[in-house]
Amino acid sequence: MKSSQQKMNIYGQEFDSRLLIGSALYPSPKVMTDSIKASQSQIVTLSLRRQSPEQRGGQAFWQQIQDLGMTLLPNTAGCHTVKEAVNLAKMSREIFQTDWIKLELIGDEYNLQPDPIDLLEATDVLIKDGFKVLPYCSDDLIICRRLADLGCQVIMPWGAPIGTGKGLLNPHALQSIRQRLPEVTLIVDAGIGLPSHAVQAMELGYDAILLNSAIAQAQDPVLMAQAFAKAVEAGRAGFVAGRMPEKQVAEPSTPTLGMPFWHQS
Amino acid sequence: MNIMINGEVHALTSSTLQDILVEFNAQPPFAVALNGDFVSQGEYGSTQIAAGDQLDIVSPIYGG
Repeated sequence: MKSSQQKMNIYGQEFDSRLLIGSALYPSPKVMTDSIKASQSQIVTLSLRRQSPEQRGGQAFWQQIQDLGMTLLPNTAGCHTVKEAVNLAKMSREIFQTDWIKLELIGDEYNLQPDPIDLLEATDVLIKDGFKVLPYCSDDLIICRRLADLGCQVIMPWGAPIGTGKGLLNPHALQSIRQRLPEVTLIVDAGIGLPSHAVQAMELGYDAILLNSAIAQAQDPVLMAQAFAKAVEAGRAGFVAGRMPEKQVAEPSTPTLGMPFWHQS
Repeated sequence: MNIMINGEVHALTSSTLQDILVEFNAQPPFAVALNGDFVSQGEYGSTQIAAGDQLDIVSPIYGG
């Protein structure tokens, strides 16, 4: 039997879990902690914002994240220019002591679609500065290829716009990226709403799923986190196992030979 | 002098970034950008701030 236990690789670091989870939008800090633990994720995303000394600079949240003992993946969410993204990445590197950056560079306010042109430029700048870039991008094969050419070992195309929960809007495009970039660690980032969406992405051969709202905004986030942990595992095993050949016409699985009551008319 | 910190005007007496961060009561952990450019911790003491400069002082927050 094949093993679906092969670890996920992110810039040389190996992980058992193929689910990356966000830290935003949970109904309470406790639900956040419980959900993240239930997801079995080993990597959590977080961000930076202007601090208010009166609120003690968000120290409570920071302590809570540190207590989880997970690998941190800071993002550049909300950045609209190369300069903003590059400088926020540098601030993240100093605070979080990691050269990983989830590079988000928004090109449109309405659907939060990444700006592919600026994304390439920012990726180039950051890689030359020693960052390990995990770019959030649309499902365009050529953009993904250019990101790989720049040195990205991990690429994160969207399933659907951030926070929509619509699932994989263009499975064919995602499949093309998988087929054409077999060496890259591919993570579907954004747009996942249901465990079945995660299964579908994993069955396409994606290495992992990154999500936040699907768990944080579920009616029972902890239970949904458990569901996603199983979904990612099931989808991965399904991919590794290899699907049956698809057919256009029905083919009975029960033998027809020896069928009682049969007679030649 | 008046400088902008996190989008608001602050009247401060210090001139180096190091002293301004103390005067502002910045709570660690934080990172700083001056007029949009990152300033590393090691540069705080040698970075002079002028009237009208814009500082961003950021801290960890939840994110997706």
